[in-house]
Amino acid sequence: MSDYNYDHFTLSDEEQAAFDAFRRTSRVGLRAPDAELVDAVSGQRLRLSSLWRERPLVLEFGSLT
Amino acid sequence: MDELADRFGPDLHSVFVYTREAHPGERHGHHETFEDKLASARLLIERFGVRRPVLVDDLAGSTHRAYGLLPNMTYVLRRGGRVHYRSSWTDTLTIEPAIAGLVAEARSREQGQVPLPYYIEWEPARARDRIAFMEGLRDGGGARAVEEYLAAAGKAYGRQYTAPLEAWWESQRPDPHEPAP
Repeated sequence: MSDYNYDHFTLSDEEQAAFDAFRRTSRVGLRAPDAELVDAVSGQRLRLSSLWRERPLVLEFGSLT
Repeated sequence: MDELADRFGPDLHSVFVYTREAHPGERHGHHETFEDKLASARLLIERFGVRRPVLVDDLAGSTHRAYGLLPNMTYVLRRGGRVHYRSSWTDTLTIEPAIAGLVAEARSREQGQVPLPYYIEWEPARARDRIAFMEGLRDGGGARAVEEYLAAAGKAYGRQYTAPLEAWWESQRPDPHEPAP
């Protein structure tokens, strides 16, 4: 999706649809998607499953803006 | 969220997943490269003193998409990766009892009990300070982020919602009669 990193916040149809879909599709009880992310400080790659294998995991999503 | 992570320290991992910029502007724009995104994440740590690990998603937002694409959502996953709690907005009001419930459940298991799950839905409202949110837009993305938010929110939620925010923004404009610093 070319405009994932949009430069203008407009609350586009796609974003509005994401809010609606989030309410309709409860994933409580289901397995969360695994992913590989980069630690901002160390630069190391880290798999979410390596964290939730040890303990419960809280994921807060967001950005500077 | 850092305080919650501290309080439940040894009982869980708690991380911040860095996504695209929700409200880009002239002060802080969208990401062109992964290095941009990494630099933004480091700026977040510096500016807000985030103590949890900040994990950066790829430039295309693969993880963000897989979890629902909302700008400020939170998940609490059980050990093993099943979803225990998810919320379309990050609010410690509901996250705290969700975590406390998980911890109590683990204690109960340790005592040989078999906790039975039940299902809950909850629709609380964001009772936070709207002006503080607007100040965040101004100091984060900049004036353009504020104006684009007001335009989009006016369309989505109506003038009744945005009128006090518009009034606040009006009060923020530099006085044209005052000499420039």
